[in-house]
Amino acid sequence: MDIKLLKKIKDDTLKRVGNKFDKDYRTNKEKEVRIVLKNSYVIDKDSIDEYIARDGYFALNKAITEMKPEEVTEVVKDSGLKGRSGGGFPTGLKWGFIPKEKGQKYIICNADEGESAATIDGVLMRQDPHSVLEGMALAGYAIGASKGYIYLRYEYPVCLEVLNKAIEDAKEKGLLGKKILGTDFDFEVEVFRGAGAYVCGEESAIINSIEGNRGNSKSKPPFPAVKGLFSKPTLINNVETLSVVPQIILNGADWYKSTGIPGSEGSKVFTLTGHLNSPKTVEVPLGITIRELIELGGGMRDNRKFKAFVTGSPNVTMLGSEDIDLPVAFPEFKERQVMVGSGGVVILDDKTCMVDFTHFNVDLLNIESCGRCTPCRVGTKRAAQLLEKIKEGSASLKDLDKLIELAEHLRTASLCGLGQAVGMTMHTAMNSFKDEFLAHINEHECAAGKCFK
Amino acid sequence: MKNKFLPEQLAEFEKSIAENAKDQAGLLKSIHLAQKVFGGVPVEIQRVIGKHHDASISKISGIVTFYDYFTSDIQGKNIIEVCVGTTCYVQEANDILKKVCEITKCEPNSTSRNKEFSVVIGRCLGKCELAPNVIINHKTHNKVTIDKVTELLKGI
Ligand SMILES: Cc1cc2nc3c(=O)[nH]c(=O)nc-3n(C[C@H](O)[C@H](O)[C@H](O)COP(=O)(O)O)c2cc1C
Ligand code: SF4
Ligand code: FES
Repeated sequence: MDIKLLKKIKDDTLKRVGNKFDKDYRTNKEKEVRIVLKNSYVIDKDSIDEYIARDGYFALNKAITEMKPEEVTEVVKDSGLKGRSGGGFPTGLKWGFIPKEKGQKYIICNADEGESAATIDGVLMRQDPHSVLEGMALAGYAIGASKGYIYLRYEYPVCLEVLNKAIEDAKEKGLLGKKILGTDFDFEVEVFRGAGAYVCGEESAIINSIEGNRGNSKSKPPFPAVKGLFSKPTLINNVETLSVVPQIILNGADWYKSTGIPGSEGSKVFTLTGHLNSPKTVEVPLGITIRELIELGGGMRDNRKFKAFVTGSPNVTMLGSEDIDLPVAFPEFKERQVMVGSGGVVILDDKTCMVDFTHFNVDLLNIESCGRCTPCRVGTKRAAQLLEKIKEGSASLKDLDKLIELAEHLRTASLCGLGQAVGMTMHTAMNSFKDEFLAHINEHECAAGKCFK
Repeated sequence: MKNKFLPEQLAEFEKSIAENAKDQAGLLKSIHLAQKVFGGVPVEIQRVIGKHHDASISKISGIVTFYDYFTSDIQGKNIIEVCVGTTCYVQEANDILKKVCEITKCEPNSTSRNKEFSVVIGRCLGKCELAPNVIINHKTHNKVTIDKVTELLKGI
């Protein structure tokens, strides 16, 4: 395989498919963009030729024949791309942390998509598997890794099939495997299936899991960048993050930055779910407001009132109706300790009890706690109990203070993000829904009629 | 209760996991295979896996109990997974779970005594736009209601 052949496949395929690629599935062409989902719903997921016809693997060719590895990292840095798993960590910066010395290194594509309500990574892997593989290969070239694992959540058997076929096809064409595109660059990809554990989306827990252990988090440092999978330097990125890298390399950092707003460059895919008229997956520029997102989801169901915008389930953070015009962007959200999240959005209406909702998620975190560290193992249990007390009507204001203090302890003392996030959950719940908690405690009043049964 | 396995099935299984044992990322793969082939990873099978992977029973049992999709009991003939992830929860998935448990005479995350049913709690099946969701014997059903799930369970 070389660039000439790549171009020929592109031209032949374009001739064959006619105007198939002109299809535009967006319902709102003004608000929605097509970057991450450029190929999804358009190309045949099983056809590597159709991916190539959409400029697939041209970025990989460009990188490995024209660019030095550091230059690839540099472009990613310049683009402003931030991790799409929710934390928003600058991707190029992360790549730069990997030691430059030669030796065995690994890429892990985090396809655990544990956030309930998020179905973005699943869509990407099913619809456009090669974009994920090409992104991984580019990351591999940039950091000097020759092997990548896709840590795939158990619930996605279809993705497993699609990805395995895509890997075979890419290998057959010399776009993965040994001597890619006739150069000295080797890169293998293997899909590794998880087995259902929310914490196994956390970096060190994934590493434990692939190594054949319980999926506990490990204490850091050492960070995976230095001592990761099988004790080798390891880069972990989310599916959506990796899948957009080929386009950034091909079209340049400035092209990518032209979407979104400063500090939150590019686009993000959201799965809009909950009490909406037409829950769906949309790709929008970052900086879009919550109000616009609700409109894209067809507005509130049954004409009910919007009550809460929730991300990150079960590590939930929430915003209330007074924030409906807030832009969905990393710095703006961070200021309020709200996560942009990996794209799962739950919109709740005024029939929802926020105490009950918070309890459900904290209880779930308690179930999912890996038990490695005491603050989280015991703290999530106690927090769930306190919330239960509020729901039952036996809590006092002191209990609420205790709960908030406990959450703060969890935030500072837990070993990994699972326990830490309980602090953010309580912080955002108090910011937006304190009155509701107080009404439960003082008046035994649950506007939604869920509690005191 | 002691589990019985066909000798051919066991031999074939051992052959596959002997391959996995050469792979440094192979242990979970062997446990996955056991769950698929036997419908669970009881202690007899854990012992077989341990032998090939040079791992103690306590390590393997620790793994089996850690992950939701591994069970140390053999699962029932019919597996019903009710999603109680966040989006399904806010659309009353708990009521659906209750109904399923009532019909199948089965506690959540366990197998009925007659080994007909296993009820599993799902934590997001990746179809939240169509919540609430239930998977019955590998087939996903969307926008499930109590009536619909009652009907579906009658059919098996
Ligand atoms: C409890 C917990 C669960 C997580 N689950 C996921 C997940 O399902 N998918 C994911 O991509 N990242 C998840 N993360 C974040 C990862 O640890 C990691 O930061 C991410 O994969 C980095 O990718 P990015 O830099 O491309 O965003 C989780 C973190 C924690 C603490
Ligand atoms: S915070 Fe919770 S999930 Fe994370 S290591 Fe501690 S016990 Fe495990
Ligand atoms: S929460 Fe049930 S499918 Fe996502």
